[in-house]
Amino acid sequence: MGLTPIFDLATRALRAQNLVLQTAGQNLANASRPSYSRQRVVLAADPPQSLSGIVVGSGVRVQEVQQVVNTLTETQLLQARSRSAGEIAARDELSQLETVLGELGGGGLQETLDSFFAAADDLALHPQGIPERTIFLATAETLAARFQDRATQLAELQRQIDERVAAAVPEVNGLLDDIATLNGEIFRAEVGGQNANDLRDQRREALGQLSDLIGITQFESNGQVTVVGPDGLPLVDRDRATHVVADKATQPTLTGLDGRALTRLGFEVSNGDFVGFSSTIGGGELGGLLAVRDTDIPSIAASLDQLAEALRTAVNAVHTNGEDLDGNAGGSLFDGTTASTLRVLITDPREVAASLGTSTPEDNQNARALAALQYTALDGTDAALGNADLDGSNFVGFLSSMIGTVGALSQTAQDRAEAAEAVTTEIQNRRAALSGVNTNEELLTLLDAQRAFQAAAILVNTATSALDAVLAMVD
Amino acid sequence: MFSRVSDVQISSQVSVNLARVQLRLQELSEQASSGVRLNRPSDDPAGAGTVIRSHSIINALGQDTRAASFARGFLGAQDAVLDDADSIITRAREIAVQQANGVASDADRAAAATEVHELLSALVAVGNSELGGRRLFSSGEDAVPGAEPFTHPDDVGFDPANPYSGSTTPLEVEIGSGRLVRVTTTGSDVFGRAIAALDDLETRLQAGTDPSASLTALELSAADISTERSSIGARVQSLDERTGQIDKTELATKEIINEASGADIVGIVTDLVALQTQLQISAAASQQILGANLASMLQV
Repeated sequence: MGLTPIFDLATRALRAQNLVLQTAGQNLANASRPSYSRQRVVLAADPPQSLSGIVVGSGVRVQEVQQVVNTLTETQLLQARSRSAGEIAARDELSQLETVLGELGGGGLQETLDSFFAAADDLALHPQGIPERTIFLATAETLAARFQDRATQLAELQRQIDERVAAAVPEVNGLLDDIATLNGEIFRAEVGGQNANDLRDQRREALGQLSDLIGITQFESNGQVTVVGPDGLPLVDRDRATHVVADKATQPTLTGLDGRALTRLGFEVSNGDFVGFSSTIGGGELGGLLAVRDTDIPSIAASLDQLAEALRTAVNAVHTNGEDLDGNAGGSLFDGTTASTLRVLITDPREVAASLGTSTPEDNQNARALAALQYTALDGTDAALGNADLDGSNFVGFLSSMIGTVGALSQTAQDRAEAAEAVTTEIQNRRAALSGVNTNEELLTLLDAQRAFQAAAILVNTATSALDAVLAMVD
Repeated sequence: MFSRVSDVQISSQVSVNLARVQLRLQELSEQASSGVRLNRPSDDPAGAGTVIRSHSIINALGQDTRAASFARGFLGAQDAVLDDADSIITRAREIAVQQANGVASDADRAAAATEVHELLSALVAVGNSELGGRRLFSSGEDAVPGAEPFTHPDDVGFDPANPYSGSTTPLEVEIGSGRLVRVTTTGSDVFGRAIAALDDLETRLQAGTDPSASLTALELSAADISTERSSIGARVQSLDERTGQIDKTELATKEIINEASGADIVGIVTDLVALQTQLQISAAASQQILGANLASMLQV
């Protein structure tokens, strides 16, 4: 029986425990990184050997350095992050929308509408009064300007979101490139039998960041992930990435509230032509931004336009039914069919038609009719009011419903973002419970490995002493 | 429940909980400093609609108050000058009775005729009265010198049977949705018979015919004035009633706004204190939990 196997056994034990120490050290060093997945050394007993007909154990060997990861949880986390990022982006932008419309802070459309109708009321108290006529026109100007302001602010908000969408595209493409590169590196490392755990961590984090930006589906095959984007487009296939393209020029373009083209997302086909995504980009910051840009803001803008159009139609119908101070038929007070184009046509106070076509300038009936519009429910059926239509509401009623809708949209977005964040936190906790580092555990592992290392060292010493004793016998 | 807890999980949980408490603290601070619970529509979408509509109602009530105030001023001024008109008619009736007793000389009748002419001029002036540059008995139209609604008896073209050329469209103002109050009465309806009666009396005194024949017309004229004053009184009463109603509605609407948007200061202060305590406990507990690890125990 020789002593050499004992040295081999002790050497392997020293190496194995050294690796355990190193791995525990790596885990401790990365303990504060949420995206880090702890690693553990899987040790196995070496196959027993027969020495002089007696079977004895031959020590320990390192089977693998395993990354503790649950792929189902990782996939769920990507989906949750994607949804959460989308809901948070939508929530933040809808909060901006609330600020833009700002009806509760004073100086809103409601106050301006009230002032306009109050001026009509004042005109009814003194239909011949030039000051009252001047004030009536001034309030009409202010009202038109307020509509224009609101429309401009909505268009600006939509444009800001569009710029954020366009600005996010290079970031998306950078991540796609990173993932494709990491796919290649991981494949090459693992095929060569090397540990690619840290590269996998990097790829996982890149996938997480990509999910934060855009809704994706991903699956892994042979160590490489395939990332599928909108329209089933493979954004990453092995070590190749297909870039998302932001385009404003290719027909049919998407027009914003300011009349300028909005960014469309898509990809380039082989001849270099741009092809826009036909499906909605669900999830991710881009998904949330696009939903607000393309659905919520246009919907509120349409309501604002409806309000402006009803104001123009109804006021003009009443105004043209009256007579001005000089007995002439009243002209149209407002022009423009949308909030952004609403403007006042009359500049001469004498042309305000306060009387009702009886050639008596002291008559106030038309001024009263103008003032009474504030209480009138408009359902599109009254020809005398130009069939103005506010879905059966009066002006302030329609406006308050519109603001209520914005509030409900924002509140729902807040609730959804909160729920999505809660789900993400829950999955992150589940992931952290499995894959996160517990320093106490690692310290215990260190102590265990330290003792085992010391024991292996003693084994070497013991074997050396035994060998020395044998050599002494020879001497 | 998890069978295993990682360091990141503990710190993340602490961080999330602290952030949640701080967010709530920020919300409460905003409410406490603004005194308003409803700072943006999403705080309460239905409440936001109520607040907007209620503010508009208050603005409209303010407008109704202005209209009522204007009407009250106009009607009050009319009542004051109608009191003068009443005195004029009363004096004319006295003259008619005095001059009808058969002892009056020609000179007395001529003097009486002159006085009646002055009374007639005064009554026409009452009919042409203005307030703030607007005619009280001609639809409130702007007072333009030389274009009085009643022609002066000394002016060419004076027709006692038809002395009025002013507006015949009564001025009505709105003191609530669909609620109108008439502010003026056409001058001829108030003073038409009185002017004709005074002119008739003057003519009889000048001609030496029996002035008592004018008495019936003078009594009817007095009745016209009295009827108009009664009508004004009724309209002022209606305005007062509406003003009281406006005050009550405004108070109730403000209450609605307060209910929908006002901050519950007592509740906020209580919550703030509770949250601050929670924050302190949470911070202290977090420090203990995060510090309690094997490394510190082993004094590594």
